Amino acid sequence: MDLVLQLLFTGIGIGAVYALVALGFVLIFRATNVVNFAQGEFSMVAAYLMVVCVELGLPYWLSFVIALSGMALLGVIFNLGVYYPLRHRTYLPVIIATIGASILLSNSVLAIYGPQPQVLQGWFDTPGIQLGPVYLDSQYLLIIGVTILLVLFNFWFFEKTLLGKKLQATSQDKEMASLLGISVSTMIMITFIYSAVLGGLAGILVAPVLFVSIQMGSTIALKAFAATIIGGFGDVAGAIVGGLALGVIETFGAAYISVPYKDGFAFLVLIAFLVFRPQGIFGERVAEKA
Amino acid sequence: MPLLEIRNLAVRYGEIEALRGVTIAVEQGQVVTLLGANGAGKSTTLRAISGLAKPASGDILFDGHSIAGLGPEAIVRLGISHVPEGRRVFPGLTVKENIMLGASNRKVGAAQISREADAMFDLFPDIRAFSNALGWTLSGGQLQMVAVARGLMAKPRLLLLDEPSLGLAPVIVQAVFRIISQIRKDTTVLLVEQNARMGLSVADHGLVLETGRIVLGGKPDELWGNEAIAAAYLGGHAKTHA
Amino acid sequence: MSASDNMIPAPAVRSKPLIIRHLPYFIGAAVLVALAASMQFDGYILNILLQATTFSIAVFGLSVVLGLCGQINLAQAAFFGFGAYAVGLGTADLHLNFWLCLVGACAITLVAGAFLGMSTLRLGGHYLAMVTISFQQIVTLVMINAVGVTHGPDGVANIRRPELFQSSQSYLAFCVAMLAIVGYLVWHLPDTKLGRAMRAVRDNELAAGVNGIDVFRTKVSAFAVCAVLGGLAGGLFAGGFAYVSPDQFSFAESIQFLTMSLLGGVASPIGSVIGTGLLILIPEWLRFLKSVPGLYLAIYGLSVILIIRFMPDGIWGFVSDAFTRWRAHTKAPPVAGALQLKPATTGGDIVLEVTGLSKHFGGLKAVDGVDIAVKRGSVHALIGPNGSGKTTTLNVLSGLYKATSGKIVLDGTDITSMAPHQRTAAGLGRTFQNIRLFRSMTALENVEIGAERPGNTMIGKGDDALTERAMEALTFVGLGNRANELISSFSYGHQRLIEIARALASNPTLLLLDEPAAGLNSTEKLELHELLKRIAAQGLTIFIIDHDMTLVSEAAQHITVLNFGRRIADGESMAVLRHPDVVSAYLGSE
Repeated sequence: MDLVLQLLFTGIGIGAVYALVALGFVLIFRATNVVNFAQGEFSMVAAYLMVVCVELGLPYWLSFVIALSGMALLGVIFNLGVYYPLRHRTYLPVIIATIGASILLSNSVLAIYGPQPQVLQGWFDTPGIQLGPVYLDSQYLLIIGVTILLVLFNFWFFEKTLLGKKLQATSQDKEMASLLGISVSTMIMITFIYSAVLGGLAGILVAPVLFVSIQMGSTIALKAFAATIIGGFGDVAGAIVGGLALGVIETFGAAYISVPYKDGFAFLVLIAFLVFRPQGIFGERVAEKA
Repeated sequence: MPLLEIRNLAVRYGEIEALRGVTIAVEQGQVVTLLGANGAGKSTTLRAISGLAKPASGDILFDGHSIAGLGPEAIVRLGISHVPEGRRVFPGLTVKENIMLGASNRKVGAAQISREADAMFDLFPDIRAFSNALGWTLSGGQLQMVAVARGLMAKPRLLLLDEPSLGLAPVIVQAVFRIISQIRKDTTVLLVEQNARMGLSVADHGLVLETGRIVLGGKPDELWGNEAIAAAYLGGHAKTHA
Repeated sequence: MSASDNMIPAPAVRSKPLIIRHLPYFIGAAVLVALAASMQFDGYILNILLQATTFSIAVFGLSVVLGLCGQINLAQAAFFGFGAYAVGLGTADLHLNFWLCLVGACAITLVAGAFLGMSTLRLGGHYLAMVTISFQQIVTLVMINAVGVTHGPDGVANIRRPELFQSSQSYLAFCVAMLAIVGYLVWHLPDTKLGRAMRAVRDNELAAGVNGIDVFRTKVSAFAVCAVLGGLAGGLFAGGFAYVSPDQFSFAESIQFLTMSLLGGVASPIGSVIGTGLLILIPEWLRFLKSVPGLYLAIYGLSVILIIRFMPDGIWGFVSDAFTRWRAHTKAPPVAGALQLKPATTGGDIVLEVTGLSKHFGGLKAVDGVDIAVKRGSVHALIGPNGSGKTTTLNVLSGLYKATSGKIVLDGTDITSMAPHQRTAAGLGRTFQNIRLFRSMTALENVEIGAERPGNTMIGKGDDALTERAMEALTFVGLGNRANELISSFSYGHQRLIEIARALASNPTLLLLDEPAAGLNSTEKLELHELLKRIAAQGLTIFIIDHDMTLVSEAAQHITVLNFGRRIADGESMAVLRHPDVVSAYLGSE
């Protein structure tokens, strides 16, 4: 029982990271009808930026600010360089271009930084606290805390602010939004920036738990994509629930079935959902707009 | 000087000539109704004015300045609000949120917009009770009210209304037209209608569009009963019977 | 548009057997094989050639799935790896015969590809991309971790070749021969029934289904073909290099295959060879770049973005585009006889019987209890104001929407719950309001797809009969002399006629025309009217939706009027148009 609780805590912690990246996926998909295959690379690049800044001797909080600002800039460049020129084409060229961007980003970092995985220390000096039978790792606590805050912020931003409403309107009907005077290109830009920062945040948070490596981006992205399908594609709440569920499944799978195949569970769950319940947990209609 | 002047406007969708030289003048304070069968080019005319369709040739003057070639976001900022065919109410937003977004062309704070949106329900009492309902849950008539209310939030000098009666039952159509006759007190309206009788009942001036050209224009009572109108809708064979 | 300009006699192009017409290709291929077998290469060049040859076969697979069918596969390296490990483990560990292993490689990848395709292809592109990436990752995971079977990271060594091709030189010649054979098949594929179906699915899924193509099965077939080619290539690769390891079949390699395919041009096997050749040779020329890990792939990633942005058809696409246009105008179309329409007559007097048909979208009753009975041999029109439910009715009839309730009987067969392609097989032909032609194909190819309708009794066996039927239909609408031009070179009005010809070629029992006059000018409308008369004269029943009342009232004997999703009038044309409810529905009520 103690082990179960411990695994549940770890699973939710890692699942929270998947949830954040999945949220980024969903927001971009809703705004542009495109799945951004470089979403995981946002996490990876942010983690490396963080490593670089910390190694330069900058304070942790300043490194954090710099890394996230870098992500905002990357969001802008990504939109202008990859999505925007292709926005009138069908989805296939656009996803191929985002795959190209993903390869470009990960291998540029590899070329600059080398294949050696890096270590990023956690935000806190205390490693964790013992709560009854469960050991609560401080970084996992931070991840869970930040995710809760972000989910709340996300809700406030999209449901309570006029800008959030404009973003929603843009994703529901671009032409109508433009008729009302909403700048569609600005809204899409904001979405890319927001998603890049979300992805970056996930990368920075998870970096002390995993190693900072070139592969971390694609690994996280695959899990996050599986999470969006489990939750119901295009659904914000589904992305979060799906991410948490996947984190838990994976942690239990690794503990009770097999460690080397830990990364394979996401795929099996993904296939199972695609075959038996393609609309996901929340039952949103599968809306594939080509 | 007319508020809106369209000179010899042509619009093409690829191979198709949707408009082939349309000339229209709308005076300040008027309601002008554009009639015609499906595919005659009515909606295209409105889309060209609001910037959704690019003119192939000709010019569109608003308040004496050319707006041909401007984008929709710029045109709505000048004071032309387009309520398109099919209402296009955002399905995932509430009625009030939809109405509030109508003010996106103006630089005013959220609190002010919220107050204006509440005031808008005085003109549209039928939808006040649905203020917090999501767009997709409404009926056709309610959606039309929301769409017009949203269009008015832009405080337009010219309101473009595309087929407000589309798919609505006669009672609802009358309710919608009652609202149009209220709006006309302080806004110039260019109305596109398939329902000729209703469209002309609120108009100062009527125009009939056929395959991308204006074929007839005049006062509503002159137009009504003209065989060309019946022919435009029901073909040459119904001429003597409409 | 008159039929008289089609009388120009032209030589029949397809009379000679394919094998003779394509003889130059085989002679060229034989020369290449001979060169590969006889020229003296040093080991380094030999390896590069061997790599280029086997990789090209794997990239052919992508040209089928991506170029021909428009579906993505980001796991080609995994299938390549399946093939390589099948041959590797089979010959080295199990000491099986090479040929047996190669066949096994193809069989395994066929099953894997079909399974993966079936799990995802119903859902569309984004899912497919992600699922194939996931599949790629899990295959790599298994190769590395299942040490007992795969030898893990150490890889498989001592892979054997067939007795016949022991020397590297002869093995290379064998691989070049395989490349030539597979290349021929892939090159010829677009002109087969399956290939046309793939292109149709890529160009317009909706129209493909309505023309009798099983869209899902076509996609799965394309995916499986791609996987098999990957497996075959992998098997040959393993034999060539005698040693394989997991890192040769990673996601990065899948991306490399994709880049090769995109760079050369995804639409043709020639593009595959060009792209593969370049991306194998360039790294060899610019070896210094290899000293920095990651730099190469970074450049690949950037190339993908730039190719997609600036050269979407790849190098070969760029070259061949001009060539195709030139050829399309010079090649004379074959002569065609008069089109025979023999609509099936298995049912009774009523060809289409719709009873109590409803279609609700949530709370909206778009179609609400509509009855329609279309008499055999008649022209029957469905009209109504905008938003009255006409197009919804048509979409329910052709199977694009599922009926909420009610029954649709076509010529005695209940088609209410059939998929679009099954309804087409049952004898339904239709056109679309916003023309849905297969835009990358010629007029003739478009109409051929229509003629290939399962159950079309009016065509004989073989390509010649198909072409003849399609030419008859094109000639019937007056465009026979332009059969080999691409769709984009036709005017809007002519594209409508091609769509009608496509439906006619299938010899339907009932022809549904969705606003055929929309966007036509008055001359074209007159010509359309004439065409409808000629179709009706052959006894084909027509069900037409249009807003042009002059056309409708002159062409149709019978009219059904909808308003608010309900039938408000039904009967003989003139009487219906004078019906007071109809007049007020159109002009507004008092």
